[in-house]
Amino acid sequence: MSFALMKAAPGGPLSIYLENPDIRPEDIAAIRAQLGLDDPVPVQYLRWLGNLVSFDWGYSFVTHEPVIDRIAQRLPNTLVLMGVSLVLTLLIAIPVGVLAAVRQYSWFDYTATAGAFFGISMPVFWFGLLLILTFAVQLRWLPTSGMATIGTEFDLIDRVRHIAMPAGVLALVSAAGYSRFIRTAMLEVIHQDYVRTARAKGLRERLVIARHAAKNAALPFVTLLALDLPDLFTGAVVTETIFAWPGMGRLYLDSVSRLDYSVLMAILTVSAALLLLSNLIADLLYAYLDPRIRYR
Amino acid sequence: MRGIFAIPIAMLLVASACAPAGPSGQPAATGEQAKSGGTARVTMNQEPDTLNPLFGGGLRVANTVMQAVFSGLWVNDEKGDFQPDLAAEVPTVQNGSVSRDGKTITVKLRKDVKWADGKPFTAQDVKFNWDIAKPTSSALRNITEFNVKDDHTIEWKMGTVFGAYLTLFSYPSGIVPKHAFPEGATPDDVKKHEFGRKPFGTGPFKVTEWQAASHITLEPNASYFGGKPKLDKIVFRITPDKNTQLAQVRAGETDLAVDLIETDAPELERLDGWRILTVAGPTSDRLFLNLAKPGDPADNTTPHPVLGDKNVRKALELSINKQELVDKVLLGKTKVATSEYPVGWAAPNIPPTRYDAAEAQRLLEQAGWRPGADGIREKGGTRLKLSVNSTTGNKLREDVEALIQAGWKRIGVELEIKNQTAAVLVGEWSAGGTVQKGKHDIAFYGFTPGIDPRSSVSVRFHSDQIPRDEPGKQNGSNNMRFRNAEVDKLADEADATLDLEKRKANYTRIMQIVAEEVPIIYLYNRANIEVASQKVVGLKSHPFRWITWNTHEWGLR
Repeated sequence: MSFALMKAAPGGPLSIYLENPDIRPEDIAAIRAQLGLDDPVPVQYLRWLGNLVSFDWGYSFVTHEPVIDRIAQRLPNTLVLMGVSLVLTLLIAIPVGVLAAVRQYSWFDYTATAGAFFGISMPVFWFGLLLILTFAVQLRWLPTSGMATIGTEFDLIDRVRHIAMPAGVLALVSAAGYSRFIRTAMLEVIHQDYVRTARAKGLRERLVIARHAAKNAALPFVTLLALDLPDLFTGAVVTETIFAWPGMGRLYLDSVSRLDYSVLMAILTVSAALLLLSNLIADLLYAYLDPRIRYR
Repeated sequence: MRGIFAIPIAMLLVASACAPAGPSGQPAATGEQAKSGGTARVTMNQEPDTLNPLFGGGLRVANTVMQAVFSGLWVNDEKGDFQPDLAAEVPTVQNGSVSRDGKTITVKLRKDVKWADGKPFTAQDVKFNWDIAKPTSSALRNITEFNVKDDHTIEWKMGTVFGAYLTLFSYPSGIVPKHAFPEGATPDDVKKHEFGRKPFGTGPFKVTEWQAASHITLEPNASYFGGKPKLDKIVFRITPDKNTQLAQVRAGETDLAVDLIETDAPELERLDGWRILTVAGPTSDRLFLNLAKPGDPADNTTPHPVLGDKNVRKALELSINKQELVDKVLLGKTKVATSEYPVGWAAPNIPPTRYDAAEAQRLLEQAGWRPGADGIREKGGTRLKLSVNSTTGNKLREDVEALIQAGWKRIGVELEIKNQTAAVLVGEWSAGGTVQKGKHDIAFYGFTPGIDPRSSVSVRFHSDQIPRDEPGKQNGSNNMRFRNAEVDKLADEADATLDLEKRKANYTRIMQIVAEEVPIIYLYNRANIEVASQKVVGLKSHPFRWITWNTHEWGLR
């Protein structure tokens, strides 16, 4: 499906050659034929599918490297960025969401709501740039961009300084959404009978919230989280671009704009597979957490 | 990103470097003694596709890096003339290295050249480059015989006389080492070889590290024949966002930012400790007018209902205030463009068109276009409405489009702006590319001609280059579908003679005809803007090459 859509879109990977004064039209024809771009689309699709089955992802039309290499170069970087931002997200979203629900209509709840609206509505490219100008250019506390200081050995502190802003921006934005979700889920369970029963038994409030309320409120949240798993692979296009993070998001963007079919198809296939997998994980987790829908 | 095709083969220095705060107004860094060692950090906004010069797409960023790594047989000096590089001398008819009939060319190579790995450079290397590149280069296939006479002499014979023979094996198609590849490697093997990620050549530096989407590190070639490089390292850092690049400059995280545009200049001119290198080059942004009836594909035998009329085309050109574009949009950093190649030995002297809306109105009246109810002209029930396609996301071109739109509205022409991504706008014929298929009225983008006018004039205006559904003819560059018998004849003659005066006269005549017939409206030349820290010395803009042309002379104060 995506293969057909991609091929149906006008444009081609050789557009960079067309206005190169040293490359003549006959040469472009020769290059196209060499790359197999002139075969009928079904033939190209079958060839691609056949290669896929034998784990041959082919070569990039733009850089001539094996597609698998291109992905392997970027994937670890994206996993690090998305992983760190996910942990940060949870560290912010869970306490904020729970507390906002427990203290509904308190000053904290209002502040959290305002913060969440700020996070949801703020454009990442603008906020990212603002951070760069503040922390890198004005205060010089952090480096503007990149993953590490170039030309130095691995240094954890250096890495942390580089990841702080991109992961922070990502975490703030997704924590805004998650915290709202958690707050709603908590509010729902907090007024349930069993929570009242727990309190009536004389359990301490903290224990009521943690053991009885939060555990149940976590059900829908865990599903939501599992469904976001493919993001770990696909990365974040805008954040990666602004902070020059060498990740999958930028690879995807570059491949789209240059119509590098083989790389695009690889990314789409893997993310489709991950989407299915994350759905499965979500279902299994749900069954595990909620005894009511466990299979007999 | 300037130009959707970043391939400036040549650049012209218009304004020399100016120090923002220096008391004399002179660049403080030039002429200063550099100490040895140190790292120069360069930031650029795109990643090269490959660093194998035989298989690159001509990306400007790739050429900027490769220029520090590879050498050609000869290169352009600051006047645009060819000077020997790997060759001992430039072959000409006068020195006897080009045969009387112009078909046999003998080249003597320098004997003291070593590759960055210490192995000697020989004639076999040059032949290897010809072998590998010819399947995808018709210009190289015109060489019918390639003989290695001895280790340092080659001789090639050409099927037809090729006036631009010095563009073969010249920069940017730097020579790659034969021994870097397995014996008997095919062109496909060479293309996919890891050499493209970690190349070495005969230039001052070699690539020692390329981290995808992050940076490329260069270290000196100790055996460089042009002298030992002063720096220990050059690091090219890839930063896709322009604002982040400028933040790197302000935060002192870089020493040189390449490939900026005119509108970046005002902010940078105020920075202490930095200097701006401004170079205006042969790149010009222009409107390509489709003279044939648009369609998928265009009907090359039927004139465009509006643009088919020369007087309408002239009226459109007269009602664009080009000087205003230069002053307002490009902040006065460049000049109005008048022809395909404003610099070099063959540059024609074509005066800029004037801005004359009254004359434009008169021409349109004369052509039978009368104002309709809403002020837009009509003729026989057809509205005078055109669309323009440029590349999406290019702020500068969007501003220009808006100004042109306003100017044309004043003379009763409606312009619709329909921008597309580069891969669509200039995609190949079989991929349904807009200009190749001729679906458009007007295409708007930049082009950078090579040093020899053949590659920009003959290829652009010859009627044989009109894209059409015939084998090998689909991706011709005459996307204006311009047809002129005199131009065809002049181009054929000029391409097939070695007489420079005759070639120059013919190409100039073609540009005069083009100015008269208006298949292309040249708008403005593009400046090439770089900003460098005062710490770096030895940086010098070159009229015809990239900023990295003399990296062996770069140093830190």
